[in-house]
Amino acid sequence: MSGLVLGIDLGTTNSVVAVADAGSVRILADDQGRELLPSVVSFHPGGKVLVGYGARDRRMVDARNTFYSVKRLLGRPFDSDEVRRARERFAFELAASDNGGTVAKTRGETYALSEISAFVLRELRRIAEEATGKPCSQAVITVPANFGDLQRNATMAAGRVAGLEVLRVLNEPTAAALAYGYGKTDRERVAIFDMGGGTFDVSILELSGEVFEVVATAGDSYLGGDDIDGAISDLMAHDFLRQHRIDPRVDPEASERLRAAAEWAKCELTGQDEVELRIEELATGAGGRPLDLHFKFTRSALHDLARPIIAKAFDACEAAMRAAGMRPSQLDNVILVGGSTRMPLVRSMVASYFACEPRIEIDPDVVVAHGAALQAASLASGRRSQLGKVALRKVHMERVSTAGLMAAPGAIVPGLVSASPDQGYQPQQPSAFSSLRQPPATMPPPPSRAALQVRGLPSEEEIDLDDMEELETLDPENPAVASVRVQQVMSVSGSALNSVAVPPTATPDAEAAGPPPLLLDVTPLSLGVETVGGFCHTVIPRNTAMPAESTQTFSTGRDGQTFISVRICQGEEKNLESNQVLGVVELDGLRDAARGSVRIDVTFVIDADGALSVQARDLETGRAHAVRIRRVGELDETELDALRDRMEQRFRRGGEVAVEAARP
Amino acid sequence: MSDPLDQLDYYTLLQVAPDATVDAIRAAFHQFALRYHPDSYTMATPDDKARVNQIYRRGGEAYRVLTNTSTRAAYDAGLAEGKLRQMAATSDDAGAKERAAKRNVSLKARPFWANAQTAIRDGQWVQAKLNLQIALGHDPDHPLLTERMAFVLSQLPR
Repeated sequence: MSGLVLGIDLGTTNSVVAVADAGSVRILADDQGRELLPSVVSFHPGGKVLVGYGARDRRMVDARNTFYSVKRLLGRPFDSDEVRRARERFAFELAASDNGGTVAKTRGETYALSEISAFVLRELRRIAEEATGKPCSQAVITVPANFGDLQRNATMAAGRVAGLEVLRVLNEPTAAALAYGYGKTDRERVAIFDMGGGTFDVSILELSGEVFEVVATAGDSYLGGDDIDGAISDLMAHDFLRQHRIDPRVDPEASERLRAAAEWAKCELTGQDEVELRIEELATGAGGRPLDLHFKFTRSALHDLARPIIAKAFDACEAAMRAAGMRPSQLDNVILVGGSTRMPLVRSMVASYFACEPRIEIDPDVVVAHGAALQAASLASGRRSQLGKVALRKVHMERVSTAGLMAAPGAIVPGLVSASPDQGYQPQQPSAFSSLRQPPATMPPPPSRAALQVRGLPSEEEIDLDDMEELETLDPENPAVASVRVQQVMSVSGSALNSVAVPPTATPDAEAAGPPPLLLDVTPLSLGVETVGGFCHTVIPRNTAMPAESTQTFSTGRDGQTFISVRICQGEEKNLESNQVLGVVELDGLRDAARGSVRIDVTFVIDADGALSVQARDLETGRAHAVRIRRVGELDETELDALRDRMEQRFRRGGEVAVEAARP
Repeated sequence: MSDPLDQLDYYTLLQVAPDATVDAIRAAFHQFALRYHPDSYTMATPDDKARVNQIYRRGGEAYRVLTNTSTRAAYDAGLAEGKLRQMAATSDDAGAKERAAKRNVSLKARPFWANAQTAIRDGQWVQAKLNLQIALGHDPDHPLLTERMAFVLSQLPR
């Protein structure tokens, strides 16, 4: 595949871009050697759009037209809590779009939030293209694990507007685990504790060399370093208010300066025990006299302030541990991700909760982009290009009684098939990535007390996947009954699904440059449909392995009804409205028939990106039926293309997006 | 002609024994995933991609059902009647039904029923049978106990 696939950590506060090649990862820096790009976009009065450091500086000068922490709002409906809180706290203007989404308003123009994020992505793409000298049109973009379908969709839309084909929306903790565990062969149970500027995620993973499985994930979409900054700046504002009887926060610029000072104080207190700061001319007193803020702050005061905020993270940790069925002390390692985990208080609280010292040797700022780049390279390599052409073989299987096996525990179960290197499979791209990812040539050793005896027979037939219809059907004898010899075609493992036909090329020492492990992720939130009375019926529970599917049958409630519309949501509450309502699933053009006689099977699919799609089938006719999801705040294809063109024009004309202009 | 995928029970699909432990099922699912995870087929034809997605999702379904004690018990009961697949829509109902049934098991029968469940999970069929016999002694004709007894008897060598 030509061109590089970027790994992008689109952060609340900062973003990072990386590429991987043959297992080695490069974090791409701008021409001044900076790896972090502030996720800030500012609309200059002269018509220019500033992205990054220049825009960040504008926060304190032009707070109304400078957009930051947009990630907290991306894909959130206008009436959501997130947007409501942001409107209280942030200086920039937000409005509702006509389909319930949130848009940004600045200088008389309206921007979709995906478009604001796209400015950051487009700038990262520019940095990457300059750093590598190659065109970049594909990316893996990371998101908080607790992002729902709307947020993931909005992130993909942002990628598209930035001219990037988004190969995967990857969970940040999973990306971090990949960066941490890549190249390791030991079995390990780890927790990824990811506290960034705006969101908190915790994921529990089981790493086993070739496969990294997310066992459980939980999070808080409104918890991060920004909240600590907010608490400090409120403290400073109260102090100022007590002294001068003026609340500096009424002025958005002053509020921004307070927040910046708060962040500075927080970071300083990582290294020292006390700081003193002074903000000049924060407000104007009686008679136009400028008032300065003096503030002394100690580490212990910071800890008192931050402790209850950070403590909220451990509620999510509890939920994740419960879902994983483990105790915190059973984990082998805890990995810290996100800038907020630099705080000594966070580290000590993590250490005491998990009863182990967290790993700190990884740079919490770039680890997510690092993992994203590894996954990007892995997806781009497409290690198996064909399913059908691989030689398939029939394997006969025989069940014998459990008792018989237990009586002779030594003589159990030969491996499935003596897998000979088969003729069928040739790796399409003999790259450094082609070896490790292939499955071992034999089945895993069956469980020791197996009641299943599997005997590989020299295959006489090799069947293409396309010919699966010709396979023998299962013996009608109940397969669960022991002692009954069930002869069946192992159409999954043995034949139809091309298992054993891969040459045994896997070598354990290939991992240094070997392909990244396979990532098995889970859905962070339960997917539900509305039932009578506004309740929510769970269709796909949270922590289900992705991709996942579930089929529900819908039928008409009235005679002659030709249209069904069902609201869908994500979340864990019993009431639909208490969850995040995603939108509606619409079935149109139904047969005109008596009520209840039209029955449609709707299959909900959550793909590996965590994004939802639906398929529908009329149970009577067996035909596929048109169905669509209408999401809250969604941009349609034509809108996305128009926004992308607008973005490209801006960047092509150069001057309009001025990253250079505002350098310090 | 129906899809061969629909003719496989979850155990066969994941290549595990009916009494496999959760760890064994997890290991088997990892092997399954290495073969059929759609991420390995990003360069495949759309048809193959669709098929591998379908296969993988079914494996994921099997994994989810078999690694949860209550859904697995419900699945095993269904499997004994020849139901190879547990629909997501009914899995919740089955769980609820079972919880309701469990409440109805009389106090005296309950500890034996609990022992029986553990034994079933571990594949200790003789233990399971003994415990179920005692439970049924306290609570004759209880539908869940009777059903599980039939299942256990079917697992025992004749």
